[in-house]
Amino acid sequence: MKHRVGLCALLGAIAACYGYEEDALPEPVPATALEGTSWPLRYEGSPSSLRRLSRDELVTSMREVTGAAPSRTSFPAEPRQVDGPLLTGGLAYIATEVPTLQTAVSEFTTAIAPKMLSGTACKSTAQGQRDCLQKWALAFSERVLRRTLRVDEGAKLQAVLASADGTVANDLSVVEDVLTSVFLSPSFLYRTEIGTPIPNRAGIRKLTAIELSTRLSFLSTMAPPDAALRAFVSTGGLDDAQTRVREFNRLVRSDLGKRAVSVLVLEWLGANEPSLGKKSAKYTDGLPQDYENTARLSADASIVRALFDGKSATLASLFSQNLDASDPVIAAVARMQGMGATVTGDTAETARTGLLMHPQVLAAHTKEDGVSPFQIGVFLRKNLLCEAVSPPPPGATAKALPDVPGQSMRENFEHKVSVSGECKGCHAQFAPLGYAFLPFDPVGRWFARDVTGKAWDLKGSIDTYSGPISFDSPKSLSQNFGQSVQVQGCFAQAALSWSLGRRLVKEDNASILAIDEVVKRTNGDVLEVLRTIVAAHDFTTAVAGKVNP
Amino acid sequence: MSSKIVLPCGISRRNLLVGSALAGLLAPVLRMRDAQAGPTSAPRRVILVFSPNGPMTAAGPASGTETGFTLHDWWKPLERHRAESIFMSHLSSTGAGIVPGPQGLAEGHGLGGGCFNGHGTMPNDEYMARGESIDQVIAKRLVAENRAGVARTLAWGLGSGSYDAFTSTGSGTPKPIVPQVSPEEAWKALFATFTGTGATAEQKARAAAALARKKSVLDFVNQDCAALKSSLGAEGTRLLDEHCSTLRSMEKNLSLPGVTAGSCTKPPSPPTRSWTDPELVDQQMGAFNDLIAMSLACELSHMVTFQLGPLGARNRLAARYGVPSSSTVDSGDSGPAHHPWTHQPKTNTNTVLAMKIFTTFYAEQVALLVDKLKTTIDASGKPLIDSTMVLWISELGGAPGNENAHITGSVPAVLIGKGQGLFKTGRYLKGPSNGGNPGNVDGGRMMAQLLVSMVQYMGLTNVNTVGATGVNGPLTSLYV
Repeated sequence: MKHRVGLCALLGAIAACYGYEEDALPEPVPATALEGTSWPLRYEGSPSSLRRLSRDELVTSMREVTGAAPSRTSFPAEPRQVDGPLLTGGLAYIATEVPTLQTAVSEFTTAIAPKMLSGTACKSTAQGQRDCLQKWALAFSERVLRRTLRVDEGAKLQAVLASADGTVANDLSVVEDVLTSVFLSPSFLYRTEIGTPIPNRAGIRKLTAIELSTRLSFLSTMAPPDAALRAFVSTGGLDDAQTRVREFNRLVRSDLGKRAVSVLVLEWLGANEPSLGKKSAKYTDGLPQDYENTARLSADASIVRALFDGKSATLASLFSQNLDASDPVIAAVARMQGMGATVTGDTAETARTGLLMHPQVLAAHTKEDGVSPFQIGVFLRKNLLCEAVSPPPPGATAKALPDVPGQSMRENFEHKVSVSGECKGCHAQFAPLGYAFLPFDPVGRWFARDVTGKAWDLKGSIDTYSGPISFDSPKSLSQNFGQSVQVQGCFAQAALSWSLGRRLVKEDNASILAIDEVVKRTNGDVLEVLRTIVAAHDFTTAVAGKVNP
Repeated sequence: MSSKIVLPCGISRRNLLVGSALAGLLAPVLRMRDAQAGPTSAPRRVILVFSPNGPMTAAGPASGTETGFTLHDWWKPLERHRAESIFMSHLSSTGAGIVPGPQGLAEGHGLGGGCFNGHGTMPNDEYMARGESIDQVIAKRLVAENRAGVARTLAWGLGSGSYDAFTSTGSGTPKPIVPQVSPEEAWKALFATFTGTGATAEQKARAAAALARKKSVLDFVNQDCAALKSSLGAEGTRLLDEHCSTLRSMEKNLSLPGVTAGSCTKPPSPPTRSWTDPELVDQQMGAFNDLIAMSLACELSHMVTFQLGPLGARNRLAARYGVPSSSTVDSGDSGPAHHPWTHQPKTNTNTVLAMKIFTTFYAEQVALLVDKLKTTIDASGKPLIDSTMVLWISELGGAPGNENAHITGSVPAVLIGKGQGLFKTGRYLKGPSNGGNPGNVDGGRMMAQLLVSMVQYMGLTNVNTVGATGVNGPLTSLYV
């Protein structure tokens, strides 16, 4: 072994130190259960060689290759697992989704065909025009499909181009058909990570150069490889960890890269889908008409500010950085409104800090019409602490005790679940987390008082895998979460799953050890976690799909 | 059910048959009258679909935001047409709280039955609308402007019963338009002596070219799917089989007889059957879908009404659907039919099951109709759905707290088609009605405005109201 000296040499198998030499591959970490990670690790993955592009990836990819973006909502929504970020490994389109997909693509290609035809600069006639468009179509297809075309595909493309003749009407049709053909092709709609066998490592395959560049590009930008990254395909340069990290650093600092990190963070926080528009009119009345869209942009900006513009890119800064009070999205919910018991608006007590108190995130975890302490509590425990929460037993809701008039909301929620020790014990795992957010309405306004006029009681404490966490407000809860190595590790696990498109398996142990080490060392630096994932030797391999020969 | 041929437009059967024979000759002329946006524009068409009894639920087809919504299970068959649809819930029946009924304000089947006319009901008959339904309003104008086609409207449907959703006032007195329920008789009326092709050589060539393009695209995509599937081995078969086989079906559909470009071919006659037998309901619907598509492609008519069952229908489905049998209810009916279950409380699990089966069946029939419109190419070389609007509304709705039958609040509606780019689809619109009788007045206005939008889509841009609802203009939220 010729590992360079560094912290990660302690772990031997870890590639967190950039620059080990590829002729000295690390010994694989045994595929047995790890102990002592900073978060409660669970192996729940099911590897697959196929990965469907998410709608975010489709939109970004199509914008990158055409300069125009289709509507995200025109594509079929991905089915989601209950917990954690969207993972599309092993996910294929079903029959009812294909026509929707076709319509979405068709409308997009019709709209952009004139601009694309103009961009080809083909201005000949008859065969000359067909030859020119054929050259453009081949290059465009290979870029979109992320591979070279097969000979028979070239012939089929020629058939698509057959009616091109230099007249605008026919050439537009042809360009539209080329665009539709490639954007509807499964090679575009899915990523594959088939790889090649590695001697003496059953079930592990080395990614091809194209697959590796694609994996790196989609993780970094949610888009296909750019020219610089494609140039490494022929040289195999991305086998080198330092090169991968350098390319990641280049890409992640671009606008696309920042947006990709924002999507990952919001996916982890369960807030990547729009939800503000679903709220009851009594809460959305008075908000700007485009509030749902601007709230998303505001959340993106908050994430970029916390992770790219400051001294560190840690979860601590993400969860404790002041939200920009001049941001119209924050101002819309923070200004004083209402009278008496319905007064809302930010005060010193609100201390709206950190992404957890952003309307985009709050709206994602509240019901349409009212407070949802149990919903947000369960979410925080499962997704930010990586702790399991058992579902309620059958008939639990019917057993809940009725409200007692005059009691505060919190008192009534606590009363509801006091029906048995079993109910109380289970709710104690997550309900205090939710009670800290009781003052927020479904769109993120802060109610000055409980409906009874009583002052808020927001303090609480929960036992976790890494010890008790106590807080007395949503601000202190956020700050404690940002500093918690368990939360940081839980994010790192989500990021690793995100990069792989699936949950983790024991074959990922080397990467798991690497991200655990970097979390502890960097206080949960988000970008450093991603760099570690990219640098790991596992990033160049794939665990074979279970039924893949 | 009578098997007589119904000609709601006042055209005699003889004239209609003669007209059919002349269709091929007339079609180009008619198209010229229709074509306002250019030589390749298709004429606009509307299909109004009525389903009886309502779903007995306030929720309607979807929930969520305007663009981020989930279709509810009973309406799931329409998921494949989501991108071309506008799903609406929480409307009220047309003219709720405004139009009169025999005993004060109309409600129940009386108001719901007037959902396509907005006139309220007659003083002596709570189920008979006072005026004509919008299909008749549209048809009259199309005839006057010489752009109606051969049959000014086609009134077809399933089931049988006393009261029908569409009405005419041909002789001044409102009369129900009894739909033709026999596909065989419907075919005889339109196609028995049909000889025309409905398209000029140039139009056919253009449509054939469009079809060839579609085939080339799907050929490229299909080959890629097969190659990718193969490269993934057994995993590819498991994961991609459905995607690839759907693509293959789409390509195959382009080669089916009758789906050829600018086809307008004479369809085969449906067989002689006892078409009112519930066991034949699927074949009956399939035959009607074929006839609707070919009638539109041949430009024999531009206005279709389809009744999935008459008002308060006691309609039944084939045994395979598993509709439970209801005991005799206060309305006197019973058995595995739609209406008796609407007189049973929803606490009876079989009520919910029956509502689910019927609503899902209706949604599936609408989805199949749209499938046909998508795969049938008209003389302009484009699928019929590009220029055809399908509006499906129900007679009744429901309420969240008391979801008993015969409530004209919270009525659902589904509008399918982009209307040559006019309508902003892929959306869910929620109205203000939360149930009850007669339902929220503004919800009834929305429904009336929705009808005005259909009337105006057909070129009647100076028509701003429907019936006695008092609305003044279309439903603006529908448009791009």
